[in-house]
Amino acid sequence: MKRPIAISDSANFYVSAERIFDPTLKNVPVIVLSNNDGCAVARSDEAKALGIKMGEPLHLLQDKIKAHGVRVFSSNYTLYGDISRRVVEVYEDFTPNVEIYSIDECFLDFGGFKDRDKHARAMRREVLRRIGVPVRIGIAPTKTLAKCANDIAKKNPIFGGVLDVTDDALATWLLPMVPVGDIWGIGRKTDAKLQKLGTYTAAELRDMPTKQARAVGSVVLERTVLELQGEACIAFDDIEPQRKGMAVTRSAGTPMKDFDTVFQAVTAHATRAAEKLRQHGLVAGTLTVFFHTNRHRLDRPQYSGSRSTRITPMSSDTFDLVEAARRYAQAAWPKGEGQAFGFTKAGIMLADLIRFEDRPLTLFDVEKPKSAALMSALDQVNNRFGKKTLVLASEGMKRPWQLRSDHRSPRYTTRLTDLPVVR
Amino acid sequence: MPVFPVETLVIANGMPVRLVANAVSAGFPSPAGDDLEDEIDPISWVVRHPSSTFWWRVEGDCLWDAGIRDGDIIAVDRAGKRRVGRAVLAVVEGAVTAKMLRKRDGRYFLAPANSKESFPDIELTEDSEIWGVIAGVVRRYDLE
Repeated sequence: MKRPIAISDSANFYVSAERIFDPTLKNVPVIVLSNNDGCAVARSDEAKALGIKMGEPLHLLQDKIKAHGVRVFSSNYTLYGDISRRVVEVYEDFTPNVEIYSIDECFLDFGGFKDRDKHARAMRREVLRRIGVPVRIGIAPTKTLAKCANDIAKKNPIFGGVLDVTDDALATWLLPMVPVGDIWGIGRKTDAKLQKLGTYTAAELRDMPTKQARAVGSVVLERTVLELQGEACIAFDDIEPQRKGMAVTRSAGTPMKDFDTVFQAVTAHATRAAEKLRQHGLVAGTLTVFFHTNRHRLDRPQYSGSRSTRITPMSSDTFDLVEAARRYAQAAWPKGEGQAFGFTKAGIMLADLIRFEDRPLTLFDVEKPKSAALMSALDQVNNRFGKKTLVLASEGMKRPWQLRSDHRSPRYTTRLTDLPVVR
Repeated sequence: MPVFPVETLVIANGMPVRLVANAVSAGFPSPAGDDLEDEIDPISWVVRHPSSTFWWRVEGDCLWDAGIRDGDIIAVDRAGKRRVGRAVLAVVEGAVTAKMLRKRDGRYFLAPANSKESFPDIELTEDSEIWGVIAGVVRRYDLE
């Protein structure tokens, strides 16, 4: 018997999270916007029924919003993150192995449970009861098949949110109904190639000779074919893979014209990255700083600057990272004519991450015990009194580079000042 | 025996010697050492199920007799058992309200708990939904 894998996820997760605290959102069209209020990234079923597409820009939606009273929200990642964490806690009561795949999707090890369907239904009921978020669960011997099952369960209410296709007969019956483009890991290009070859459904892809699959779409597609046949190629990770890199990057609410403003944003992002490093007990060896103008506004002068550097000794110290970011942002700054550009994005990327204990010691290691104490004090203050209580002055106070989020709901679950009110 | 911190680097054979960072107790052990316990944490006493407990702020005095007042912060457990006589949060016609769950003549009601002011009872229908059960209340008073 192959080990059954379940994937559980919430359709329209962001909308579901908004609905927990605001009952007026029930049964009405709701959309949640991307970073910077650009376009719709989550839509309630009612919003989908109005023909609002994923990724549709907000400015093209104004007529529909007015005509149908669509409720519009900026993304409230603080809230979604907290709700996501709570959902995972419920999963952990149902299986010893949870692999977080994204903010709203988890792979769950369902090996060893006798009545999987009943177990999954109990889990689904419990998430709804304890958190108030509806989830759908797909169960199969491989991750790719589990994703298919989850997709079918989401689109067809008759399954009541749970579909177990570990039974081969059921998989054989369902796969001809799944379009090839809906399969996990099949991108638009591969989809087009497969259609040209007359492969339209998951069943047809499953029956494609692996050699041919490799020729059409490399090992990735070959692996997908094997997974559709029920052979697990994408392992269930017992241990979270170690992070190899991280990026903190944001679009700016208003274009940044001068170096100081760009550097304020870069300071904030480097500070956040350093915090994340320390949280995971890691140090970084390479830092890239970058900023660029809006690439979609060809009518405006374009510029993109970026520099990478090694950080020696490897570090997770906020001052080290900000200092390196400043030096290299300056080096990448356009000579002489900086004022002509409006930068809409800035960020930093860290690579070459290793555990603090494993970091190579340099020959002339300068011990900075004061800095370690300072960093831990900084983290403690910000943990205890809220994010951004203590910041580097170079981050600035007005933060004009901050995201636009004109419609964000309160941070109901993480801020005393934002608690929902009952009368 | 007094302990002197080492202020400057200790150099041996031209290399700095790393010192153990942890304090090593070399004297008489603290008599309280074995009896140390965690700090008292009333919040963990109130919150029985962290994942299903959400905090709300109360406006109004309709649960005054139940010891809940305007401005209080209440913990609401979505997984709490709905029982008659318990204080609950309910969704009625798109608004969230805090009331006592009562039963009369086989029918369920959302009733206020305030003998000084009168609030109407609301019958629990299929359209209304109980959001959660109030698990505890936190209040603070002025100091300055």
